[in-house]
Amino acid sequence: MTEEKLPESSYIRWNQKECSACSRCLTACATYHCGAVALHLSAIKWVEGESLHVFRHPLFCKQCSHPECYYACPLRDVALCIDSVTGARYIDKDECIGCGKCIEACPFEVKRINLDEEKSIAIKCDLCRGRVGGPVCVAVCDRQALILVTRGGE
Amino acid sequence: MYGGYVGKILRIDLASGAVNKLNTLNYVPHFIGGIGLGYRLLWDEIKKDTTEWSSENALIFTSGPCCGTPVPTSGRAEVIGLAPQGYPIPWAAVSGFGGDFGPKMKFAGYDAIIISGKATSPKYLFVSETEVQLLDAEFLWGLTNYSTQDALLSRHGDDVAIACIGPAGENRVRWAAIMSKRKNAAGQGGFGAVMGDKKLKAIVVKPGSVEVPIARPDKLLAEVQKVSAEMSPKGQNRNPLFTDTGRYTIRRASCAYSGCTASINACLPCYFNGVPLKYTGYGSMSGSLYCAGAAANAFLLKSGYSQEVNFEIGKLVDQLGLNAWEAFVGMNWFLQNCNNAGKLPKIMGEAVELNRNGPAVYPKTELNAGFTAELAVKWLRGVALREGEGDVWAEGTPRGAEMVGLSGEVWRTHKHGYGPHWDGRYLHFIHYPVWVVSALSWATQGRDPFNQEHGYVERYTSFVKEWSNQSLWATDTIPYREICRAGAKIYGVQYANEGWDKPELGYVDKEYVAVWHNHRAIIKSSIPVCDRQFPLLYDPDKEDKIGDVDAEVRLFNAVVGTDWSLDEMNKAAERVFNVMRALHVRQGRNRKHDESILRYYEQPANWPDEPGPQTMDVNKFLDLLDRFYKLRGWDKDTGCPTRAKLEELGLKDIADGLASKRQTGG
Repeated sequence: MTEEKLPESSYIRWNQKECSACSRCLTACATYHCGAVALHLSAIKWVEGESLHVFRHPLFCKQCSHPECYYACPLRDVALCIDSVTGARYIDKDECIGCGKCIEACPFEVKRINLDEEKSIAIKCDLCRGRVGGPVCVAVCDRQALILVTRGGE
Repeated sequence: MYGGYVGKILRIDLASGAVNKLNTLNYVPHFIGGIGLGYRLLWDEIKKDTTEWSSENALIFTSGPCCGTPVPTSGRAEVIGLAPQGYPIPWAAVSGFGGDFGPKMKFAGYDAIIISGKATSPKYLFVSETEVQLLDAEFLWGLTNYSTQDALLSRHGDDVAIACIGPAGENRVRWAAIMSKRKNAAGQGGFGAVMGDKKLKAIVVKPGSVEVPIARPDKLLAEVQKVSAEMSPKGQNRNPLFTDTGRYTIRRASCAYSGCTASINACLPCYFNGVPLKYTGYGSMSGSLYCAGAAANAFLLKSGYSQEVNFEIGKLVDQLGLNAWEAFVGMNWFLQNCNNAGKLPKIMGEAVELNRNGPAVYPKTELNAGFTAELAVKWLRGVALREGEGDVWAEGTPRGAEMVGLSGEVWRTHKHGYGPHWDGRYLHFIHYPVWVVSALSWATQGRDPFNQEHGYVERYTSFVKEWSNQSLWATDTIPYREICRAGAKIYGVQYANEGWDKPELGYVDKEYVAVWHNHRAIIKSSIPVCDRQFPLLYDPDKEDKIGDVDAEVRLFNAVVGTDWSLDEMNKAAERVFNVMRALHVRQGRNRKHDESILRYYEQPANWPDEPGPQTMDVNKFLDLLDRFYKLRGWDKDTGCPTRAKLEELGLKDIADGLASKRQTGG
């Protein structure tokens, strides 16, 4: 299969030094996108790590340059698409069939995509496409520990 | 359908293992959630003769509708029950804690958990979306709070939240705490002892796919941003989170569901100052392994010890599962007073001489009791394990004092069973007439004076320019005259904040201030949000200097979907306050118990250079208490809520419950 070069995406950078581990990004993400809060409704994952004595922290979708999720989607460009403005690899909720292939393909140990089993759709960071003011997680972080790195930036 | 609630309350009888599920919507939104829901459930659970050690005694864990949402500081759970620390009767009381127990209890499907009955052998409760299991805890019995949690996290996964007890709770120490993670504690009340009495070592909640619905998501997110900005004093969020170049970690936290933390209930702006770096490592968060700083712990040890030693004593308290507030700001000062009076030459069998410049000696105040580290360790371990004389002090200050013939000394530091807290005599040297309101609140509480009203006494005090050397908040300040003008509008009475420079006004209108803050205390611990931050009373940048006083109501409405005004929310809070009072009355509370605080205020406040009086004017205070009862709709002689008041609040069943005891006072 040929894989054409995809446009780079903007992404959210987490600044550990400023993060107070309050989890507001996680709850705001679910609130904005799903109108309800639960861990599986947020596109932001969380590492607890209390038993390991490590810093509790959020995990964000990297909006990979080579997005395995995108390539794995059986409805590529229909259900898992590329945003023409931000480059975000996003899921069209109306088209997603909840097959879970994108989650399987995500290369990270803690998968950055969730499954809403009830609605049978995958939940993935879309950088809050179309939201005035940009991604909601960045907006509610009062420590400014989250930074939207726009494409072409850095 | 309302947002915010997940709809079910879990009830388990530890004796039979029977589990039922109640419908939350039978109780909300009219009891709000949190402590409001908790007090109502407690009324239904227990009887007049139920004691803290009765089998039918219930220990109730609740959250509120805003818990688990992006509402700042909402990551709180509340514990409600008959408090072993209460004296002479274990008054119904509450104690809150931060962290992730509240949200994860909801993600597992429950707004509250009611624990009734006693197990015959050590157990822990595991609750998930699909399971409620009472599991064997023999292997955990005797372990410290930290080891207990490590074992449970290994077994059930890192994502669970845990509330547990250490050895102090197991041994029914009347000031044993319930701990969650390294840093969150429900300390006051001694509810850890109730868990121990029930042989319940821990509650483990596993988050599932249960959703907390948000009625108005866009509105909520806008309010979250607005309120978050308002509650952070200028520049606070720009302070460095931690410094890792020196010896100690400084960390300031913002909270959503990591909420408030620490064994002393510190919360935003949590100042975890002074955590030795060797415990945290570079670039890590102090809170993950150890959290709260050494500030409170320093009240126990004599001066001269390093931060490390103070910190380690604090962590010993957490591990044993003692109430740090009582250890560092309660019993320690009682023991110090007795020692200084020559009535307690030995502690834990050792001849000691504690700090003679006690915490209430002006102007040479030294805020430490003067223990050596060795004595502190011996005493704390002795109490938690009930070894030797520790067995006496495990019974708490007033009961322990009775056992060793020192009852006559208790009045200096303890009332209703609790030590000082924002009353203007020990530790928090607040100005007249702030402590008049504090006294009025303490009179009618089941617990310490301003246990949930920091928003008044701490924030208000810190905003007054003339008192700004007391500021803990790094805010801009406001001249006292302007604060008085703002107060008149906030409380709706002319002399609400008056009295500091016009002493004759010190007792005027103060009943309105007390009632207002009684209700705000219930609102913030019910929706729930941080006690130290809310209500947002003053704002130096506003022309009228009035802060965002209805922030909690707007947050609640956006989550729940109601359109309550502040008046309607206050009515719900008044309902809760009267349920609390009815619980106390059913336990035997009367006006005499309320007046028991009077003698405490014979001790002077420490501002002899100021125009106001330094001690309580008893007659003026009794008159103020009369007016408070009248405003509350309580009987003047008994302090019992009248039937008319209870029925007005929709509490006819409670009026009937009290009437059978002829306690409704007409």
